[in-house]
Amino acid sequence: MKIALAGNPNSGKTTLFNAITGKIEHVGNWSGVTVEKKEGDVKQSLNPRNEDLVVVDLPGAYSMSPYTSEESITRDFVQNENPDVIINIVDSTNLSRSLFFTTQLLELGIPVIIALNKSDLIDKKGNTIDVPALSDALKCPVILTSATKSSDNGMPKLIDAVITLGKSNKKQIPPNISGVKKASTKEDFEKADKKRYAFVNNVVTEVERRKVSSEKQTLQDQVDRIIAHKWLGIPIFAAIIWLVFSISQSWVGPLLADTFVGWIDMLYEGIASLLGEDVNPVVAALLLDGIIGGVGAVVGFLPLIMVLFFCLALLEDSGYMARVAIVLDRFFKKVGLSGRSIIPMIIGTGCGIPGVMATRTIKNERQRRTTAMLTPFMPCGAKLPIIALFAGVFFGDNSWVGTSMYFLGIAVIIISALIIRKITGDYSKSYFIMELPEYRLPSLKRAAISVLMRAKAFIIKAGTIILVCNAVVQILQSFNWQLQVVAENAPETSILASIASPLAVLFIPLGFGLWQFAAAAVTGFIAKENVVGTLAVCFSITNFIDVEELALVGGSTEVSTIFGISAVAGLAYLVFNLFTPPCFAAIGAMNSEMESRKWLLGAVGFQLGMGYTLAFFVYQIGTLITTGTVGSGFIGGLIAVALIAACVGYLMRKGSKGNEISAGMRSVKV
Amino acid sequence: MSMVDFIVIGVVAGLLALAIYKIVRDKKRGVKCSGCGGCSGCPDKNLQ
Repeated sequence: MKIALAGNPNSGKTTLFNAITGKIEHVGNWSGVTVEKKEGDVKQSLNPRNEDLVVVDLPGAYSMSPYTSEESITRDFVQNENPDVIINIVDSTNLSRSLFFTTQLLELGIPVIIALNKSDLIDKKGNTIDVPALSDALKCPVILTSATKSSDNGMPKLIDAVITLGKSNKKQIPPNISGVKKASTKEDFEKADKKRYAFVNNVVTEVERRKVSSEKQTLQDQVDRIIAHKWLGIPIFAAIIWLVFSISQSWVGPLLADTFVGWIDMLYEGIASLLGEDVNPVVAALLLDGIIGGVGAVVGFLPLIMVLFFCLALLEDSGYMARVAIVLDRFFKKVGLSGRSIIPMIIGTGCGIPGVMATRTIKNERQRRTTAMLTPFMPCGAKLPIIALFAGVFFGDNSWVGTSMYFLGIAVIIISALIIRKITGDYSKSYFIMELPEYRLPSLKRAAISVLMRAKAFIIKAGTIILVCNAVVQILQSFNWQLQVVAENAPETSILASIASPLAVLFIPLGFGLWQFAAAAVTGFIAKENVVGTLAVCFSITNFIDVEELALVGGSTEVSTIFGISAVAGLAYLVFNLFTPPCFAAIGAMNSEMESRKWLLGAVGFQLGMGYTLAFFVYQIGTLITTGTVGSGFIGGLIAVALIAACVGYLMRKGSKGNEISAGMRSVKV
Repeated sequence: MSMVDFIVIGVVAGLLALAIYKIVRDKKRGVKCSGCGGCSGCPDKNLQ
């Protein structure tokens, strides 16, 4: 039996899906978390007779007329794949909004069961819903559910009702809304929609009693007036992000990292002592420095990343991140994007790939492509070890570095969106309406599950791609082109150095013209964590976290001396790695979502130009401020940046001209 | 090259073979995702 879960965004479909299948799909306290359908079997405890029950979780939709691509997934599935039963998840705290979609589902003829979800909130709010009357009015069973609860959540009753209804083979009788069926033209549909709304309003008036009048301001409204305020919202957001970075990178994270890195150190020392003095130094270095040291240096940052994602998961679950989208919307609107673009960017702070994929919720093609291009500018999980490393090595108080990189990412996105709008010549505007979810106490369990899944993926990645890359880097660093072992005092004769050195020349104006940094930047395109791993291998640093000092990077002066670059150059390198193209996997996701080779090439070129230019300015201006003179390679870098600017300027002029021509053609047509 | 050297080389080769096997197997299974760490937020479960 195929069961479809359909309902409005943020009605709790995925939470209910997890509750009845036992899966742990990602949920979020905001709309638009699910953009693809997901399948699962009903779990054994709810299905003791082992019936064949397949549940399909569909993206949220407000109606059967698709507005975004994920809504069309829902419509196409419900209309074409003939599910045996539809469970329509209705947010019991917002009946009048939810039932419009219900009336459309009821007209399909497929048996519908309404799961009146978030039912625990009905009592809390002091409201009442006459469930039997609602069931009579809609001519379908209505079951109270509370998917977030682990027991007494209505799931057994819901599944029983689904099995009974599915086996009955009864066709769903639609509610009697006159004039709806005959709709064929746009005007007819508009009239039909009005009739549906009138029907829904009547039903809601009959079955629901609300304690608080919707005209009155609730506590949530009052909180939103501050948190989502157009001016106050920004400093509040900045303070929260600073707090998150402080907890993860200065307070709790290093404490956990201390123990974790201790284990890695023990492993390293244990194997080193096991090998003894008799092993060939090249072979020993391959295992100790290349594999254990390189992978360990990256994995050592895992506790910090886990704490950061735990905090972000709590924020997301509380409903705060949806307010961030509202706060930033007006800035994004001015540059041709909208709050809808912010959702992929917030998802992109976890990983750029799902962030880029989430752009498919954006209907406007130019906005979708622009968002896919700019989402990787948000510091993702893979970039966090780089931020943590450079913040720790060069800057004592490291939490402001992470925070400023987060906000620099947003600023770069806004500036880039403005440039892209001028290049494309598309000045179309779009408006963003988002239903703000209720604030709720975040679930520690959900946040913990989310973090554990990320940790698992991080370790798998470290044990596969990062391990292979570090081993290759170690081998290339150990031999020269004649396949002779490189002398200890002549690492610049290695294969790796000879490949990376020509690239390093390009980085002289950015302050890090060393082959080790060039090699790390290149391996970073395979996976951004490789930057840390490659630096560890190239500079023979076993780990970057000091277990004695409980500091993020102990002996930072020592590490910065080994690196051989200034703090300003370190910051420039950090900026370069954050704002140049993302890893290949994220570029692949960009390719899928952009559906245009021209846009993809333009995006990668733009990201390269942006990363280079930003790093140039950070290094040169920073050096000017700290030493009173510009940094090395200033003229060469200035020429390169001028060429990039000229290129962008030419494209912007071309875009504006194109826009003028098309505007002229439109006026002639008029 | 001593016996220990060969053992270490064997261990390293084994680790690399396992890592490459996992990467290749995932690729054959159509897993495009390289393991970014954002699985819980990934909207496309087919990629994992």
